[in-house]
Amino acid sequence: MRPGDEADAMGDAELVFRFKEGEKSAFEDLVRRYMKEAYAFCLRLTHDAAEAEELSQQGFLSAYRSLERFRGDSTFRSWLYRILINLNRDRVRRRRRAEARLAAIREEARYRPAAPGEESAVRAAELEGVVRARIERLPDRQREVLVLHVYQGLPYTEIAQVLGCSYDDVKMNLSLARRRLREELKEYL
Amino acid sequence: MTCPDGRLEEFLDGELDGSARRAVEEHLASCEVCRRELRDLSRLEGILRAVPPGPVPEPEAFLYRMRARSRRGRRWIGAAAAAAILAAVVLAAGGVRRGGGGEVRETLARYAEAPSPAAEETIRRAGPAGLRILEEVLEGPDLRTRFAAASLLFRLGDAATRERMVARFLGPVDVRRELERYARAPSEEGELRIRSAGAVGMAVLEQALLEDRDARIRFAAATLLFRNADRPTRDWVLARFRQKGDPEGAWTLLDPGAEDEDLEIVPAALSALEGGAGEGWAMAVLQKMSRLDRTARGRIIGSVVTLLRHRNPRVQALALEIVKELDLDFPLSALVDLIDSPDLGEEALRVLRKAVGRDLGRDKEAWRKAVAVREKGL
Repeated sequence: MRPGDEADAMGDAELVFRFKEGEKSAFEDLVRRYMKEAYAFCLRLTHDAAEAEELSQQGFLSAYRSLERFRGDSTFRSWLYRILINLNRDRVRRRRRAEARLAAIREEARYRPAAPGEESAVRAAELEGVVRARIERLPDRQREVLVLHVYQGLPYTEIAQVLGCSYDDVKMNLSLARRRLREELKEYL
Repeated sequence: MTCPDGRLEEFLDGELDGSARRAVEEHLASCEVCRRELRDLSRLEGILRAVPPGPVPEPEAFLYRMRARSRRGRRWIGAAAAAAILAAVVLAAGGVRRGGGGEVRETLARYAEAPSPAAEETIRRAGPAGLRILEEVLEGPDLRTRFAAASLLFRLGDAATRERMVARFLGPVDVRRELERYARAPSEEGELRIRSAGAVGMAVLEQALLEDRDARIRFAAATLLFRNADRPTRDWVLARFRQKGDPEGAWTLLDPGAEDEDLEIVPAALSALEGGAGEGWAMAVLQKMSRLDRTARGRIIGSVVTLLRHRNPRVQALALEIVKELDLDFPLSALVDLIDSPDLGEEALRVLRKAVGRDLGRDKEAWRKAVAVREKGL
């Protein structure tokens, strides 16, 4: 657990308690606490500002509706991540089904037509787009684990809690994701 | 201690405590392989972490929009809080007055009549709230104002806003229709139109390649992606071609000759060979194409000659394999150059002896003459 997390978790529990006691505005404070983190996480998953906003707002609204039933088996933060991940899986499924619908608009750099003779040089400006594209193409579970760990800074045990899997599953998926990214990004390493 | 398989990543991630951590540290002090592995992992980590998340909105503005979209939301945010949030948003926007950004709207109306840098500056100063008003205006009835709003959004908005604008004006359906048209009858014009849609066009192609049931559409999408996208995307398209073991994602070639696009797979396969990936797959593709399509054969022969002159001996060896395996009517003169190669000389001689029906040892001049006579005869 990172420094300050424990105090945060206690603060969260207090806010959840107040919410359940009828003080609905306590939820606002939870949104203020986690909005930036949740939004950044959604942006990592969707690569699109509009979709990130939609997903994170849905996540909070869904948390608001279910908070009465939240038993506190995990921290509020882990629970919120779980909601966001489930919503994102629905979103991806919907998107895959919708044949003609526009896929998430991705980085311009990724699709710039390749100019002859340009391939061998490493272009720093492109790297960002390439990394995002590679992460996006990881299998769902590997991508979730990687983003939660590398970008959201969650330790293995908390990721296991969010995803409802074991510590070893987290370790294995993270390792597989890294192995694949190392291979795919080797020209940049 | 033997190499701690799988523990290095836990070590890097700060997951090990006390003795486990010390054990890995001690091991690292004496093991160059693990130190290198850790260094590689750290480099990857550095590259991954260097990618920024993108701009994140202010919590109060976020809450405000959330409240606006949800009746349930209104219940939790009391009227007083909502008013405070509105005030905060308005203040943060800077220069936008209460009442839905009246100044931005007025300035925009003036700008639509007569564009001026001063008007643009006023709207720019209104910040994100000003941009939101411009986006609202895009839905409005007056064409001139909509045009002015679009032009300002394109200039003042961030990359995501610009992407939304492009998507709004081109629409995904048009790209899709172009793709369908292209799949029926490929044309340079169709390709240009799809390319002009930029990221939107490529996203539609990617989606079609992944999801379309019609093999012809998937093939057209793959072709267009391969020709117009950057290298990572091309690699990815190649990877799709290679998924032959998976019945769902399996790639089946169209009947050769039915579509010119089949030829695209030849350079794809050759580049896979050269890159050292998917050799088995590439050979299978080349074999199929060589057997069945005259133009493809021409393409293969041209490329194989290039590969034979490659500076990497492994690529040269593969090229020779192709010659043997595909039983091509090959320009044998290209093989004469290989006679001196320490790795491939013997193999080249064997092919030459078989083709010419004589053994001329290592005399390159003699081989050249014999080959020229034979090729003339053919």
